[in-house]
Amino acid sequence: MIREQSRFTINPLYVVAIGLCAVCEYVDTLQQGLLFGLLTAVVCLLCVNLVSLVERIADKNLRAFLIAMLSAALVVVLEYACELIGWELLIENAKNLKWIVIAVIALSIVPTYFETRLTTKHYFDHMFLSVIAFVLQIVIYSVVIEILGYGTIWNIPLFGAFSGFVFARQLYFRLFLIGVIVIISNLVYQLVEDRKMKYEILVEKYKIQIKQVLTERDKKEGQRNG
Amino acid sequence: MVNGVLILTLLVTQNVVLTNGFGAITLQRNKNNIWFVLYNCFTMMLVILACTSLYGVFYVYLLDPYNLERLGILIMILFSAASNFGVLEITKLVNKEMYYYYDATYSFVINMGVSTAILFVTDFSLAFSQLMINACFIAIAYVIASLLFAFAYKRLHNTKISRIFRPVPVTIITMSIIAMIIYAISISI
Repeated sequence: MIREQSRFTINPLYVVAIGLCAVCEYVDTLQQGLLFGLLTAVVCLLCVNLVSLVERIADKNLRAFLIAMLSAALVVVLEYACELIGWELLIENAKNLKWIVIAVIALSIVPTYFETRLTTKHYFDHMFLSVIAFVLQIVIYSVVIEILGYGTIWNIPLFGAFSGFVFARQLYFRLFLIGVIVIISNLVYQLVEDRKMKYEILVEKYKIQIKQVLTERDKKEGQRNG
Repeated sequence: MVNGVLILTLLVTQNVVLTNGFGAITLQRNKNNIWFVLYNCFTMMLVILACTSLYGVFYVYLLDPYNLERLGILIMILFSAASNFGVLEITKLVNKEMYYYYDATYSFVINMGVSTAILFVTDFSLAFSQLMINACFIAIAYVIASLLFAFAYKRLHNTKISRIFRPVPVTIITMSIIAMIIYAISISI
């Protein structure tokens, strides 16, 4: 289930942002954020891993379709499970769980379209980190929306009678917030990538230097023996 | 007429979230080819109309009478994937250049996600004629939103904007500004 990256690349954070756009309208509280984030993470990892088993016989478009179908089937099962469990939070959000499918379709773009062969490194670099980034971003997003929009955190009032700003519940603020979160995450991502690149360049430089030293030593030993 | 404008503004607002997040990624690699953007809009209009009418019939004759509405998600994905596979095959036969763009910009998965999302927001309990009118409005709204963002994206994706802001973050911020304008218009109407 772990593949080598193909020549075209995409910033995985952008795909995470697209997934977040799909569910943003239905996340108002931290509880909902955690629910949507964790369910999306579980469904996404499960679907991508299962579909990767048939990657030798299915092309990328067919794999994308299979991931979508499998995630939809899991969401249908989840909806039934919500009724059986009877947990209030799950029942309230049962009808919006279908939006997880769209988030999963978005998150599966990188493993389906940008990786061609299985390797552990790319699995952890892209799939696993994308899913963790999604959960983190949705948690930050839901905390900000709950505090500004409703004046609460985990349904506990923070500022007495203050019930939040109306604008913070509107779609435009939600999108703006996603934009800001993506910019901050992108800044961190670029810094890490730059540092990684500098480190790789340094390693390559030292490799060349070590190679030169070894070649010179071999030459000297050859001259001595010769 | 006012009703039509209201529906259109509401649908554009929903489409802004649903379609252009995906569109922002699609446009990363075809921003210089306006013909592909137009072709994509045209095919998406057909896909939206086909999926809505097919699912509408399915809903009336099978899902609603037998109380199988929960399975609707699977049927929606099946229809949207089938329509997009159809578009992919027709494009392959008709125009090789468009097929190259279609394949290179992974439009299949994006269009499948968008058409499924549009089916999610459509109210299928309406009468079939009203459903098709709504589908037409959604298709028009999709085209408006896509073209709007195609041109905006072309201007925003340049080196004058810092690397961390482009292309998707700045597109999402633009989306939020457009959503705010649409919100203001819908309130005043």
